[in-house]
Amino acid sequence: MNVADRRRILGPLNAKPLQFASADGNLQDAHLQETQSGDETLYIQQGIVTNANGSAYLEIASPTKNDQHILLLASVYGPRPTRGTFSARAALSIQFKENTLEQFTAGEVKELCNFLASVFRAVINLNRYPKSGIDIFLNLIQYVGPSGTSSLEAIIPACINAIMLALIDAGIETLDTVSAGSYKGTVISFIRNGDEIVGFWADNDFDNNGSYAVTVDKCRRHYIQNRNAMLDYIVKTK
Amino acid sequence: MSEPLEVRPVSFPAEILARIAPDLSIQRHLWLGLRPCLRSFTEFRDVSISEGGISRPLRSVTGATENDILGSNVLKSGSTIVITSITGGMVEETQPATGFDEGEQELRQMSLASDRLAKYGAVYPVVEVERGRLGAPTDEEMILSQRIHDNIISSGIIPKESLKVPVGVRSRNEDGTSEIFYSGDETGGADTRNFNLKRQWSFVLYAKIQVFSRDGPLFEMCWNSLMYALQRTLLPCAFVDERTTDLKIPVRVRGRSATIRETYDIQCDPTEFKPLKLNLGNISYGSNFGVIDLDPEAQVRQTDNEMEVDSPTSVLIADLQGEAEETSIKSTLSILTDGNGKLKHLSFVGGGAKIDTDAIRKSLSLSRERALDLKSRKEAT
Amino acid sequence: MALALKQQSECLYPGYMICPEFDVVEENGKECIIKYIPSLGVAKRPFSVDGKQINVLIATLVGNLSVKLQEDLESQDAEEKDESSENSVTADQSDDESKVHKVYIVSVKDEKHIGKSVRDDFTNNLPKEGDIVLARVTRISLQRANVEILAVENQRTPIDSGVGSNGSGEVAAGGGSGAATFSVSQVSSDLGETFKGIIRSQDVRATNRDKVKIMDSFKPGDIVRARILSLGDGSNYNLTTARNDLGVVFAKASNGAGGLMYAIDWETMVAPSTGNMELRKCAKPFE
Repeated sequence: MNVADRRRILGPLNAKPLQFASADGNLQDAHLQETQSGDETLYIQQGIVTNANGSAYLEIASPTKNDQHILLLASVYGPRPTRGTFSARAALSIQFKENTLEQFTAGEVKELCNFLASVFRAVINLNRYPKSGIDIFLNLIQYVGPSGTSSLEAIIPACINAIMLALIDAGIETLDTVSAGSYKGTVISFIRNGDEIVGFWADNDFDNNGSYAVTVDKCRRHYIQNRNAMLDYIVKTK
Repeated sequence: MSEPLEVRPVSFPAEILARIAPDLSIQRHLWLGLRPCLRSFTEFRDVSISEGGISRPLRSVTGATENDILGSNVLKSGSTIVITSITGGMVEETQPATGFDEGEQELRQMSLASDRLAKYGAVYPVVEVERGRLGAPTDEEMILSQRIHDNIISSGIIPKESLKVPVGVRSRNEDGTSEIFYSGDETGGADTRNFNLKRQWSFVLYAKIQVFSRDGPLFEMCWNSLMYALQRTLLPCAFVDERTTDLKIPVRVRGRSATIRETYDIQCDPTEFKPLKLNLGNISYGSNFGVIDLDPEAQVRQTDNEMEVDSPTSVLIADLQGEAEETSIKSTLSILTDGNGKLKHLSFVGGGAKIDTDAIRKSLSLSRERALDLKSRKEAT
Repeated sequence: MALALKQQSECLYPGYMICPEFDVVEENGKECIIKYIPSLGVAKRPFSVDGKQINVLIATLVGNLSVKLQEDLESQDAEEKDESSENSVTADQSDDESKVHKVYIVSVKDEKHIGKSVRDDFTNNLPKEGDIVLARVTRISLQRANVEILAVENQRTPIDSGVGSNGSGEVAAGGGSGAATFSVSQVSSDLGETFKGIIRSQDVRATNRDKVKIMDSFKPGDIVRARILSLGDGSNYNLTTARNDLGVVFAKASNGAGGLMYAIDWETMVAPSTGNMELRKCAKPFE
């Protein structure tokens, strides 16, 4: 909060944010909970933002994971002209914003954006769009993690799915239908039916107890579920 | 030259014409009795509202603990989506420095009585229009925020009285459980000795208004969404711990012990909420209009002998939508009114087409009907 | 063609493997080598089968497959081959005689656009060399006219029926974020929302090129039909109007204050309400 921000109406300076007394109930660690993706319900809507080139809205609810709840909106702007030097391929930028509550720090958000950008740089056919830029905006409208906690890993697969659907809606060429799966705080993003990994995210010291192969396998299973759900939607809405 | 030479004029598809010559495109539409969005001149877009289910009070059962949204609304009008979320803060009221100074009290009362605006609380809105850009707010966002802020105060919707924080005291029993007593509680009864707190707090309300799929002027939509959200806002009850009520901490200023301050660790009750009391009579809903001159040159004449004798020279357009209407219609009217003919805000901007009394009269009656309709939707939810 | 028939009705999605780059089929007892060339919505990716790297065509868009025989190129190739075979007979040529070469262009098209007169996505319609575009003049100087590109007339794809464009993309002036700011007209040329272009004075007309006065050819606000000469530099495309059907198509009299004007010859426009004439480099108003 910049004190000298004169572009927004900020209200009295001595106001304090509301502090809620913690309700009686012990918080559980999100990482300890097994990611059981079998019971996720997914709601998809494309083209909801009309002034963007493409957009997708995702609602993910998983009752098994203590009311985990994600409402996410991805919108794709561009390809639009860039300025400056000539570039033969498109530039890609991804921005992430929380609309209602700010649960993640700026550092976390930046890390997330970089990760997503690296995934999609590998997937979007950037050579098709010379001297232009593709801007992707993610709006996390609501996120309630397991037992009210918030963890980035839980939303990364949703982010990747939403961006992919928005890109499809925008008609931007992508080399594959990318998606991701998560397992115990590790997120792996796959393409080509799970044969190639385009992104790997492990937070909070990668779990060495479970072998690497098991993690990859579980993530791949989750990925295939996610991807099939998206393809189902794409083919049905055609 | 026995055979006539066939020449076909170059023509553009409607979509391209709208892109390269929006003013021509809109004029051709208007001569056909339609608007580019295919609505008739004074037809409004449908509006659907929902609570959105993101505010803390209404979903406290589901165990969202990190949420401090007190009221919310999702308004959809055409393709545009407005998401309003109301959050709160707390500010300590300034109290007379020592005890009761009769003269000062009197002075305050007098000045307050003459200052109508001081009786009403504000909402501090931040409007964000999603447009695929980063950086500082645009002019539009700043103007929208300011207009909404000013209108909330001058409409007199939120009495300052209803922003006062009801403060209770939490006392810890021997067995470790805690109970909270509020001054109005009949059940508490026994423990009222600590209620003569010298300090008072008020709530500060912030509104975050997010707009997706912008497709025309936004002020009225944001305003309506905020109105719905305010009517669904619940304020938490707050309490201070019993043992902190009398806590005094000496504060040292440059080595000298100067003042003794009481600190109150004021906290909000996670379960106890009361609806925000509004002056319901002052709630208004907005609608916008535009006036555009018809360009006789753009008329698509069916036959030459069909000469227009007294065709209108300008038309009133309700609920502007789309790029073509927004760029071509510069004379606009924005009206906030309740359903009973009480006007809360009027703004006429003349640019090009003349806004005559007929247009004003017509727009006032239309906006009244619209407000009634919008009001009934709130009751329906 | 079996490939096309089989998959025409199927909905493809990004990552869908369409076919290998080269294929061999039996046709009339002859071996026929088919080469597939990726076009819109299709990309070539390496793929390993049993440890062998082959190139595979995959879909990059959602839509339906469309496969077209590339006849011009094939006949050209055939002619070249004929010539070369006449000149010198090599071991390769003997192979060629028993084989037929065919080149197919593979693309993925969205059904939504088929049968529509206008493609409303700018996305896969970015201005390319040779495209005809509609542009608005934003600034003129002695040497050049600066324009912003509003729409692409894509004459190459038949579904566009001559004129293709971005109907509602945010890339266009005044749309999307351009409109979100307070003053549409000022911002659209400043925010970098539209693709920019330059028409140099020597590219205005084909004849008498060094006598061209930009002032007498374009005025800010005019809508110009122009052809893309090159992708230009980082910020501007190079455009030309040196053709009969290129030039100003819409212009308003008195620098935008008056009504629309109509072309009466290739360098004059007239405002019907006042009868005033102004100089422009006009596009031929007839097809």
